[in-house]
Amino acid sequence: MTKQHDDIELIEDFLDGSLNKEVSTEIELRIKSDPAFAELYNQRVKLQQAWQSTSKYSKVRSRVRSAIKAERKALHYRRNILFVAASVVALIGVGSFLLFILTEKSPIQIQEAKIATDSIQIENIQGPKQIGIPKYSKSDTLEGQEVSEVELVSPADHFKFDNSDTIRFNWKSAFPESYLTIKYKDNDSLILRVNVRDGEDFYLLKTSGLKTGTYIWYVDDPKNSREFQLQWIETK
Amino acid sequence: MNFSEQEIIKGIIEDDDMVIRYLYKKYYTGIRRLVYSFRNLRLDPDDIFQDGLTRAVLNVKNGKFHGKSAFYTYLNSICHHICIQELKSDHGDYPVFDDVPDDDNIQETSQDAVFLLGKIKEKMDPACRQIIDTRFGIGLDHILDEVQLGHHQNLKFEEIGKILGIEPDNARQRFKRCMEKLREMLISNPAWNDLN
Repeated sequence: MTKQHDDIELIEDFLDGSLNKEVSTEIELRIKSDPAFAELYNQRVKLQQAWQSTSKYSKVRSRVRSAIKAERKALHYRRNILFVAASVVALIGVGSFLLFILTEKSPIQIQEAKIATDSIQIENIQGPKQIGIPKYSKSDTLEGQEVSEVELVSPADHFKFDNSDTIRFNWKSAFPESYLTIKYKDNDSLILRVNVRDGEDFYLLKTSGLKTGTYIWYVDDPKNSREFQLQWIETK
Repeated sequence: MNFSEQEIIKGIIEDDDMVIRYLYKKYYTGIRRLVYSFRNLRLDPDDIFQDGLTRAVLNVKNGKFHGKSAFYTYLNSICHHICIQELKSDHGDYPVFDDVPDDDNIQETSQDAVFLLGKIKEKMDPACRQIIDTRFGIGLDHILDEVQLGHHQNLKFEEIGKILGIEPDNARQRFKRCMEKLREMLISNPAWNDLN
């Protein structure tokens, strides 16, 4: 064992307080007189002081570490939430786009639907008189006359009306906007062309302002036109 | 949530973890950039930030930070100082690049030895940590009145034996071995030799 090791053990015993008074006094003297021994002693004391200080350091470091860990976890959580939210938005966007693509009809499909709807629906529109229509369409009038109570259904082809009737034009169209056109057959003069907007599937026309004769009417497509006749009834 | 400089200092003194979390969120990226500027893979930004913040917090709590600079500047200086110490401890020397931040702002802490020892302590065998802690009276505040202390508050080996349930000689030998290990670890660390 080296002298230094002996000295280290001696210092440890001195610090332990387990040496007798004589030896302790010798050591105290040696600390004052022997620089090498004094340095060894001071190093030991300094190391102890530094070690004791590390206790506080460890506590703070542990607290800093756990706070950072908590913040990292929270950041990770927030990132996940954002990621999920972004994914949901992206999915909704993609889904909407796909839905739009799948449900959107091509121009050819639209044209086919238009022809089919007009021809079929107009042929099907027939029926008895109706009284008490629940709603009115836009109240276009002829020569300033307001549309009054409805008593007739959409006219079947070649149906005859008199000047006390209000004609209800019924149809079903695939389009958000339709144009109802009525012409005087004899000279092909335009009597009425009205834009019927989305949600409106009929139009009321009071006949009192019209002259007698044969009229043709159609919605959008002139090829699917129909006729009705108007005659005067003499009031007594 | 934002904290002013005064609120940061107050929060640190009062052990407010929200302030520590705020400092991490706010300053970690800057410190990581600083660490990367050393272009040395041995430097781990996470470790440097934790060490730097620990030192800064301790210095604030010990009244060594006087608010002459912004807290971030202070933290940055400490982290820069730690990087240099780490590189010294690894190689004794390290390459210096032109874009390494200026070191003028570093407030040399006399606690470098404590921080270094703290890190070494963490790497030590738990049994060694325990006996050294016990010898130096750490964690024994509740029984200090009941035990016999030697000089400089060293707990007698006889008392250590009682606490740990071993013979006093056994305690003495174990403590001796652990202190030798500790000295070896310290001596082999150039940063420790620089400090002493």
